[in-house]
Amino acid sequence: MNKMYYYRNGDHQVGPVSLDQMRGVVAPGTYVWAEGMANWQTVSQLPELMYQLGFSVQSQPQPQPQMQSSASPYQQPQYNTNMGGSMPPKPDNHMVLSIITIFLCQVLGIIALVMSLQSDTAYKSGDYDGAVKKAKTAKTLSLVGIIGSVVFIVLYILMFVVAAGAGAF
Amino acid sequence: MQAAAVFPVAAFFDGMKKTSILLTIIFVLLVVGAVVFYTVFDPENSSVSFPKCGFYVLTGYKCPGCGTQRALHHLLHSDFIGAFKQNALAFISVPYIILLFLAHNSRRFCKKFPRTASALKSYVSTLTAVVAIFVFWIARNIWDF
Repeated sequence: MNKMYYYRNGDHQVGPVSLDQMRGVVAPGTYVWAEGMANWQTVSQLPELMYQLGFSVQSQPQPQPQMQSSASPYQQPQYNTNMGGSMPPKPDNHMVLSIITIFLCQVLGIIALVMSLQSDTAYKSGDYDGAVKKAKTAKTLSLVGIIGSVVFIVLYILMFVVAAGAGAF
Repeated sequence: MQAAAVFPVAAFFDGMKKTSILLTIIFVLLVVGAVVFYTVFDPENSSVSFPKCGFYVLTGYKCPGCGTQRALHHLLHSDFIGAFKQNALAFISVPYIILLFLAHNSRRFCKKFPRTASALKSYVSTLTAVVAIFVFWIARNIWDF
């Protein structure tokens, strides 16, 4: 049973990946998350992971564990616990793109919007991978719709300009 | 590095990939072109024939996005009532889209307004937007607005 990790690449979330798959891909500044962690943290904030990934740890790896947990409960970091602690933060469902696609008169936008909603529904029911997949579909559909629309409008106007130019001679 | 010191615009592109610089330039050109075009020409009555909505041409029914070009023209002439009449939902959506974009992409916005950000990203918010769009779609075809 290997621990699975998620990491951030730009604004994308990658995972679940194993420790071996992360080797050479993530840097000390990369945000990572694994089950049991309350928040996304950089690799450099996790001395154990730094060590496992082969990065040199400059400072002392960790204070004595017993002292930290039992003797000084007030010094424990305040974690954001409202996400349940078992799932990564909700992925972007790309609804902004879906709505823009709709206003560009693209039926694709409607499908993308439904995908955005399904992404939220999947996340709500605990299916994180499904949520990411649906959000990705929504993004792809929207981008196809938006780029298609813009290309169509630009070509349409260019055609008109060329026709008007030809008519003038 | 030197270029960034000379031109303030170059500082914006500092550290960006070549493709994203190109995309940004294309995007800015498109936005400027659209603003000029939709300010000068009126989609309702002009010699320029504007591209029509495919859904409308095929079915005879309006889609939720119909009227956005006309609304944009009115908006660029600061005729807010006219814009609202052409596509009420698009008009209302502008602040919502901006806020939603910030909630998903701006860390500063999320830090400053954590409650607003999480409310915007919530399931209820998504569901409301989807329902609003479908209701608008049906209603505008029944009462023709």
